[in-house]
Amino acid sequence: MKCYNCGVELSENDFCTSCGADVYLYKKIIRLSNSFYNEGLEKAKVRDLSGAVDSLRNSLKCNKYNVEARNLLGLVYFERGDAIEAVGEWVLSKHFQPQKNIADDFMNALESNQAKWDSIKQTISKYNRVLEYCQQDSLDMATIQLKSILKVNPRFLRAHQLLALLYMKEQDWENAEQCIKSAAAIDTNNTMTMTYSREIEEAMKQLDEMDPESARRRKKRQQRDVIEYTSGNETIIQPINNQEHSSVATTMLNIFIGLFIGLAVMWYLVLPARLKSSQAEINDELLEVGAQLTEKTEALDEMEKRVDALEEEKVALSDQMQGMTGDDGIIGAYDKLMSAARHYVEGDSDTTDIAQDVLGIDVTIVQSDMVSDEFKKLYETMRNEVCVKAGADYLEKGLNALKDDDYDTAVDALSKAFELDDKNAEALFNLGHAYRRSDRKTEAEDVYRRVITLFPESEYATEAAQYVSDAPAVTQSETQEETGDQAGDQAQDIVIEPIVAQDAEGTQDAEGTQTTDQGTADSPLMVID
Amino acid sequence: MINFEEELKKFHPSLEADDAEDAIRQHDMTDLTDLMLEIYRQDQSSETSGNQK
Repeated sequence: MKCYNCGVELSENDFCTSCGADVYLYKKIIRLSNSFYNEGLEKAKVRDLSGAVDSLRNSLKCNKYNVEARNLLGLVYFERGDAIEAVGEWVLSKHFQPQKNIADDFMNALESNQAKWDSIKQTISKYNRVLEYCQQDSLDMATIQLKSILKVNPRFLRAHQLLALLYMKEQDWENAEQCIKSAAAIDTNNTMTMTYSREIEEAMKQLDEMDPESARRRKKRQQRDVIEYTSGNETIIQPINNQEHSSVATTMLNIFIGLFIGLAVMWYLVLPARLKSSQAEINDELLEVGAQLTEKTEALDEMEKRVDALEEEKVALSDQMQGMTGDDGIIGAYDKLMSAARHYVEGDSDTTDIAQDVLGIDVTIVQSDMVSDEFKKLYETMRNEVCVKAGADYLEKGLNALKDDDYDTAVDALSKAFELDDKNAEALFNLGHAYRRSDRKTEAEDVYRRVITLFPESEYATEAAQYVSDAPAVTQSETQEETGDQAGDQAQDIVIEPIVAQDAEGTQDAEGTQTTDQGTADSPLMVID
Repeated sequence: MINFEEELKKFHPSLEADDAEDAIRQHDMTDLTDLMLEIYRQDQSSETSGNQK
């Protein structure tokens, strides 16, 4: 205890040893305040909150600086649901004693749970609105609001009392009794609570007297539903079937149930749809890939066909190139023709070599469009200029060989002579003789037939007909007079019948008359120069 | 028998958070010690004026 004047700690004396102020009365007031505080504390311990409030207020009326009394008053206010009044007392307590004040802990506890604090403030606002509903006679609305308030703030004493009053108004005595019991549990010695409780008891007693059966059932239900026991100075009334479960366990159980339901919904509803859509997407992609594959395969087939066509073209071009570059090709033909022309220009007397070069040129090349017109003209010129002369040389050679019975040389020379000059009937005719004399009858007959065919009006044909087995009749009359090409020969009208030509075996092969020939006789037409 | 209207009048609106500051400011903080000091000062002043006479 400190001096009110100088603030120095007081002694046992009735005056301040520092400033000399009379502190007798002051000390008495302080002691009275403390006494009230103790009284309030005792009442608070037995849950006589109303009595505690009165005592603590008296303590503060004696000494406003009694911080313990103020803090306890705030606590009592908060316990019975008057949160704002409690905060007000704690604020004042901190004002008078800023340091080492338990009010800090109370305030921090409120601030740490802001959601709870906001809900408490909302219940207070709702309670004020409920009072307005009651004054407006909207008792049903008021009842509903009070129930919601008590769910959030079950220690709101005045809400319990007001709800009990409303139930009493409606003569719902059982609910009113429940509310009053709840209120009595919070504040045991509250005047209003005890008043309402007595009122309810009397009303229920009257009801029980009027309806004993219902009273008996009600009592039985009450006995079955609740357990009542004392613990120290407190009476505990606990419902049997309304065990207070751990909120955490209930929450966890609800969470698991929710998870299970969610998983079930996902499994049976969401997942199949997702799988279906995924499958549809996969099918679409497969179709697309298949189409692309088909497209690629077709492109590949086309490429392969093009490759085959190119290969064939390559082969054809190779053949064509070979045809052009080979010895028998166009270039070879050009070489041969130029060689022949060169020898001719140089005046080479041996025309046979020149003729060989010209003959070596493939006639198909000359007749084709692969060579120029100039090539063709040169070829014709060379052929006309050289080949004919060479043919005459070969004819002479052949005839000499024939005379010498060198039939192989004769055949070769006469063949070349006719090849060089295909208008030389003499060469062809004597070739037939060469074949015939060399016992090559078949070739001889062929040659004789060719004479008849190519030169039908010449005397050689007449002669050749003698050696051909089925040669047609050849009339040789004005032809020789017209041509006049037989020097020293007489033109005679001779009709030659088909004569059977006899080979070495003496076989006969004719359709007409059959005469014997005494052997082959040289034609008188064979002229040897 | 309880009169609902009369009983209802006993229920007053609870202090809301917005009104807390004004309620604290208007709170009557006079206690017995303040009254005692006031009386003491008045006595002191009356004694002083008496001595001066």
